[in-house]
Parts: sequence; structure tokens; C-alpha cells
Amino acid sequence: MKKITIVILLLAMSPLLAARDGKFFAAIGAAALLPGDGRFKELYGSVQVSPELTAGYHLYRNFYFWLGGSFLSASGVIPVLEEKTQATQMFISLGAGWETRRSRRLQADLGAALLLAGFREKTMGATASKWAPGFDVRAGLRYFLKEKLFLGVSLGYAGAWTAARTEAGTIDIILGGMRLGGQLGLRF
Amino acid sequence: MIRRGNRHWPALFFTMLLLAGLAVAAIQAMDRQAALAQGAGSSSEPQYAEGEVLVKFKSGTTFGAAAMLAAEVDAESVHEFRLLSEARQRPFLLLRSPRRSTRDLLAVLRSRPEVEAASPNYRRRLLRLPNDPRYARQWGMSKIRAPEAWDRNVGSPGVVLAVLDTGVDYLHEDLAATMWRNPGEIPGNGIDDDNNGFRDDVWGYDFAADRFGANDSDPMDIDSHGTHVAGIMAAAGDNATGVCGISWNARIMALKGFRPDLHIYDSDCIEAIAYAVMMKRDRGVNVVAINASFGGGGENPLQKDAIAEAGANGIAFVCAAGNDGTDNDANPFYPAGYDLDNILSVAASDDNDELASFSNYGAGTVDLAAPGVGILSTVPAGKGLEAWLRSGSDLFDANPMEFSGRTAAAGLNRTIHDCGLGLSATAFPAGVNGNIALIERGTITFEQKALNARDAGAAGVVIYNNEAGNFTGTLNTAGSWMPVVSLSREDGLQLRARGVHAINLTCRLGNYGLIDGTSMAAPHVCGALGLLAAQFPGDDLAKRISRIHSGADRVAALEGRVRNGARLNLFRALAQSVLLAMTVTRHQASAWVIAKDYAAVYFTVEKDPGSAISGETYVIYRKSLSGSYQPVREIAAAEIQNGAHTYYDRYLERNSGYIYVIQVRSVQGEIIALSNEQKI
Repeated sequence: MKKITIVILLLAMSPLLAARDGKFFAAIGAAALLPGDGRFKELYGSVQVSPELTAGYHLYRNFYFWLGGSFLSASGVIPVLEEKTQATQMFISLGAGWETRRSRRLQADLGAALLLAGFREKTMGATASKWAPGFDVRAGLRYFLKEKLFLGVSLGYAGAWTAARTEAGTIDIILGGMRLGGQLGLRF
Repeated sequence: MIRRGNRHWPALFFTMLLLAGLAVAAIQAMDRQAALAQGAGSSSEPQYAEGEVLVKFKSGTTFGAAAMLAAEVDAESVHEFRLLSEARQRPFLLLRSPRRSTRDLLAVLRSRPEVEAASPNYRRRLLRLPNDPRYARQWGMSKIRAPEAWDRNVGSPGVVLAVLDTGVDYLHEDLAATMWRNPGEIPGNGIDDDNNGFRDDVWGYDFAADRFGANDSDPMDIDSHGTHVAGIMAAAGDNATGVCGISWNARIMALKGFRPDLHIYDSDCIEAIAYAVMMKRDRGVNVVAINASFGGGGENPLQKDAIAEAGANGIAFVCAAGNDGTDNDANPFYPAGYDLDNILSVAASDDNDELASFSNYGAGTVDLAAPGVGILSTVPAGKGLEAWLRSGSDLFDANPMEFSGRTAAAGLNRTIHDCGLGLSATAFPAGVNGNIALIERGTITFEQKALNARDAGAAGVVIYNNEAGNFTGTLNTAGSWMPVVSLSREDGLQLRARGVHAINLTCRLGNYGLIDGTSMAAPHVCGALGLLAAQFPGDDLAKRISRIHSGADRVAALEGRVRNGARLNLFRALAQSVLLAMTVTRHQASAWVIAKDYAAVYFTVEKDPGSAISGETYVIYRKSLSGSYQPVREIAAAEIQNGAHTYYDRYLERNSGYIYVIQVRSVQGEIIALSNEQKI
């Protein structure tokens, strides 16, 4: 799944590599994710670090569309049994954004996207995985260090809801959660 | 002040001397107690002569040096083992000290360079067998190692075993002494003297006096089944009469539950169980187990509740597994099949440790096997058929065939003739006419052999076995048969070797009889519970049942037929040096999304302090309800902390049932103990 995500992101970013008119941007960063699923938090921890890639293209004035991808990988130990368990969550967002310059160097933006989130958990000789749709909203500030190079911070929520049928019954699952991210980006 | 202080010094000195003397005496007394406890094991009596030690000196030690050493340790040589001393060229002595304990002497002597070995002067038990004249025919007793168990305990009058059956002949010569008697009841006065709701319940009670199940106070046997069962459990032993019960000093409570149609109805059964529970709970009667040698019919939640209530009051319910030769796992058989912790379901095995052909089985539902073929026990007066042969001064025990005719009390005095296999009347020698035919077992049925002998004019038939040991058989149909008896191969060959000669064949009614059935197997286990209750009065029911499981023998022919392939071993149940008790609980292991069940297998290990067992391995086995046992974990003795251990068995499927059992294996790989089984 990771490979597919990377390929999609590369394909999505390929036009940017050729462009030179400042309509494109790309950013790499990491977010601290506060998982929305209580059981996930209990087992894997209440703060997870999630690397992310974002790319966008300005369609008209301050409006742009953007594509983002991130994932998190966590491990935990099942109580009593002390059995290791590993979980991964993956997020692909495709949406629109609006930005405004507040000064020569500072820029604010808002974004909303459709989210495709997936998980994979492996423990006790079993593996469970599933994909589910959701949404991703975020607001942020960008500070331009140079004309094309910027640092960004953003706060948002990316979440998807699904359920998994297990031998113990149906379990409701929340993928994602609140996120606070930081990025280093480039505008073309 | 100084002068006054000086006057007190002598008093203080003597007081301290007195206290020191008392302390030394106390320590010595404690040492003696400790030595006693160490030597005694679970018994309160020492297993050696206190103050004595046997000493083997090293080669080159002179008698003078040995005597000096004895004097040095405050002992004297009271006996020299001259033969050994001369043969081994060194002193072998028995030393005795009037002041020092054996433990003290051993500690000192073993540290001396001139001593090669020193040991307590152990005392050994007399390996007695009961003097009951028919004991030799009770093959099941030696099979389950009862004589060795009886060296430790022969049962206690404080233990009551209830027989829920056709009644018990409480006047029987071999049962009268071991019948429980309600101390609060005056017989025959028509009054409920002890106010327990039952009038004149002296020996127990009759919960099924007529065809409608009306009650009366007399639990006299209306058949012979209940009396036979009672005798296996607790016929008086070592009384020079009849047979010997397993727990020969226990007391038998007669709960008659069978109506005149020779069926037991659940309503009567429930009432009888409730009576036993009431007598234990409210009247303090120590009912340890109820024997239920009956079954058939469907599941009855009320009956199950009644049995569970007995369990809640510490009463085991020992059931016959059934005589249909069928699989109880596939076709549940009740009450043996109720899934209750206090039920022990018992199959029947024969003297070759094979499952009896008629016995029901079930690897998941039948707990163990016990002797149930050709079992000799008490029956009401004149209801048992007994047989024997006299040839010269030799007496041979014989088994009457089912439906066999009888001889006069004095027997039949005739000559005996070897008739081979007795395959046809024409093959019989002419001399057998009017005499007794000796026929080897095999090829055709006993009935056919007897018919052929009759056609040849024989007056009686003796069929001897074609393999070692004796056997029981049937003539299939009732009729006017001549006396037909079976004999062991060894005895048959002896008779045959003597040629045609005069014998006396006696086949007459008596107070003892042979019966086959899981009905006979169950009371072996019930009696064993009684013996365990006498030996370990502090045990709860679960522990008592654990001892039965722990001590059972694993028998190859019973593998897959009963749980653990186990057959009762009375001695090992009583003398088990490793006692395992296992509890398995099922839990859910939740990751985030994935949930699997796991089992917490908790077990405790109790080792006899006197046992030399070490380095043993605990092997946990698991099987699905329809599968076979697989080892899931081996645990070394060193991993057992404080006598307990928990193993988490992971990855169990949510909707599947599992059964666990633990084996203890010695360093040599021998199975030395078995836990109870537990289903989750």
C-alpha cells in the first residue's frame, strides 16, 4: 500500500516538476496526530508522529486544489499476554484550499479534502486491514523564508469511520484524528 | 548499694543457668519433633526407630575405632551385623543413643571421615492383605493397587458413601458392620425422631417404595444391584467374611431410588440427592460421594440442578458411563453426561486393562475407567450364584455362567472328562455320559458347547479359558440348564493334566455374586473417594477429584476411549507424590481491531515433602472438542514459583471449545502425575 501511495503522489506531482510559473507548491513535513480512536490510543499511545507529503496547484487567484498523503506506524503490547502488536494507518487527501497573503512573507490558508484512509493491524497470528472514506480539514500559516521556500504550520482534523467484523463481534473504528503539522515547502 | 547488688549475683547466675538449660531442652525437643516430622511424611508416626542409626564404616576402620566414635557421639553399639562385617571387612553397626535424636546422630556421623554411610533404622510396613476368604477372586483390587493403598488407609467410619440404587441389604453379613446408621433416629417407632422430615430413616431411606414413587423408611434391596454396588465400595474388610470393599471402614448410606419396575425416576432420584445434601448440610453427616450406577433417558435440568447442589455441598456424584458400548461424546448418556465438576463418569475395564465390550466410552465425556467385568461382591442372601470345584485336596474358584443351573448344596460328585473344544456331541468321549465335561473356550458359543455336552449326556460343564485368567460368560437364554461354570486357563489345564478323575462341582446360591457392568466400575471410584476423604479430610471436593485424576494410570488401550486413557489407581491416588490442580479460564485478548481468545492455564503443584522428585517437566496438552491432545507447552520444574504457574495459551478461536490437561513427566520421561481435565 505504501508503494501505491508513493506512486500516486509522484504522478500527481509530476506536472509540478515541469512548471515554473509559481502556481504549484509541494511540501514535506510531519504531523503530531492525536488518534480519535480510544482503543487505538490505549494500546498504541495517544500521540503519533505521521510523515506527510502535500502538493497543490493554484487554479484561480487564491484557490488551489491539493493532494496529500501521510501514514503512521505504531507498535504496542497486548496486556497480560505481552504479545507484540503493530498497526499502520494511511491517509490520502484530495481537496481544495484557499490562501491569502497577510504580509510579504506570511500567508494563511484553509483547506478541505476528501480523505481515503486505511489501516492494517498485525498481531496474534492474524492480520486485519480495511479502507474507508472520510474528510480532512486544516488551517495553517506559511512563512516564506525566500521567495519560493516556505515553512508552514497547520492544525486540522483528518478522520474516517468504519467498522470491522471480528470473531468477537463488530468493532467501530475511527481512523486518523486531530493533527498538528509542520512543513517545509517550495513554490514553483 | 554495691553490697546489696553483690548479694543478687548468685541468684541471677542460677536463674540464667536454669533458663539456658530449659532452652537447650526445648531446642532438643524441637529437633526431635522436626526429625519425627521429616521421617513421618504425611503420617504422624515416625517411620524409623528414634535414637538409632545404622552405620557402615569405611574399609580399614577397626572395631575399636568404631566403638570410640560411638562413645564420642554419646551412643553405644547395640548390634554388630557380623555377616556383613566379615564379608565386607569393615564394621556394620547399629548404634543407639538414649539422649540424642536420630537426626543429630546422622548429622554428626555423616561428617566423620571413618563413616561411609549412616542411615535411620527405618521401619517398614507389613504389606497385609485382608483375610476375607473371597478376596483372591476380587481381581480388580490388585489391578488398582488397593493392597498398597490399604497399607496407608482402610477408610474411616466418619466418611459416608451414599448408594443411590435398588436399595442395600443392610443385614448382609459383610455389610451390616459398615452401614451408616442415623444416630438421631429410633428404628420402627413411626416417629421422625430427628425431625429431619423423614420417619425412621435409620439406614437411609426408600424414595420409591411403590410404582408411584411413594416413600417408606426401608431401603432394603429389591434386587441385588444396590447391594453389589455397596459391597464394592465398602464391604467390611479383614473380617474373615466374604469380600472386601475399597473403603472398608467407610459407612454406606442406602438411598433406594428404584421402584418395583426396576427403574429409577428422576423425581425419586432428585429427592434422594436432596436427602443426602440435607443430611450433610444440616445434620453434619459427612457424605463424601453418591454412587449412581444407572442412566439412560434425556437431559433433565432439574436432575442436573440437584446434582450441582450436591457438588456445592462438597458431594461427588459418581456415575456409570453406560452399558450400550456406544460413544457418549456422540450420544450423551445421563446423568453421567451432565457437564458438572462434581460428576465422575466411569467406564468399565477388564482384567487385561481393555475397555469392556459393553462399556460406553467418550474421550471428552467419560472421566476414567475402573474394573467392571467379572466383579465379585455382596448380594442379598441367597441371590448370588457361586461355584467351585474340588479335585483331591485342591479347591478351584469357578464362575457360574449366567443362567447356569445349580447343584445340590453338597455339590455334584462325578468324574471329569476332557472334551476338547466341545464342538459337537459326537466328539465327546463316551465316559462323559452322566459325568462332567471339561471343555476349552473358543470357536463356538458357550451356549452351543453346553447344548452339545447335554446331548452327550453330561451332568455338568466346566469351560476353561483359552487365555490366562478366568472369565465370565452367559448361556444367553434362561432355561433348565445343568450347572455350567467357567475356570481359568491355568486351573483348566491342571484338571486336564490329571486325566479322568473324581471331582466335586458345586454351584449354589450364596451371598456373593459376579456381575459385569459400568455399574460395578463406578463404585470402585466412589470407594476411592471415600478412602481419599479418610486420608485427606481437609481436602475439598475439587482436590479430592484431582487426586483421582493425578493418580490414574494411563493405559494404551483406553487412549481415545476415556479422558486421558486413564484407569483408576487407588494407591497412586492416595500416595501421589505430585498433586496437580488446574484451573483454566478463557479471556479475550484485544489488540485494536483484532481480538482473539486466550486461556489462562493456572495450576498448582503440591509435592510430597518426602518425595525425591526433581527436574520434572509439566506438559500442557490442549485439544479441540473433536480433536486429539497436542502438547502446547513444556514447563520445567524450575519455572514453577511458589508451587503455582500460569501459562497463557494464545490464539484460540472465539467460537471453539477446548480441553486442557497437564502431565507431569519425570526426568526419565515417565508420566508421574496427571491433572484434572478442564473444558473451556
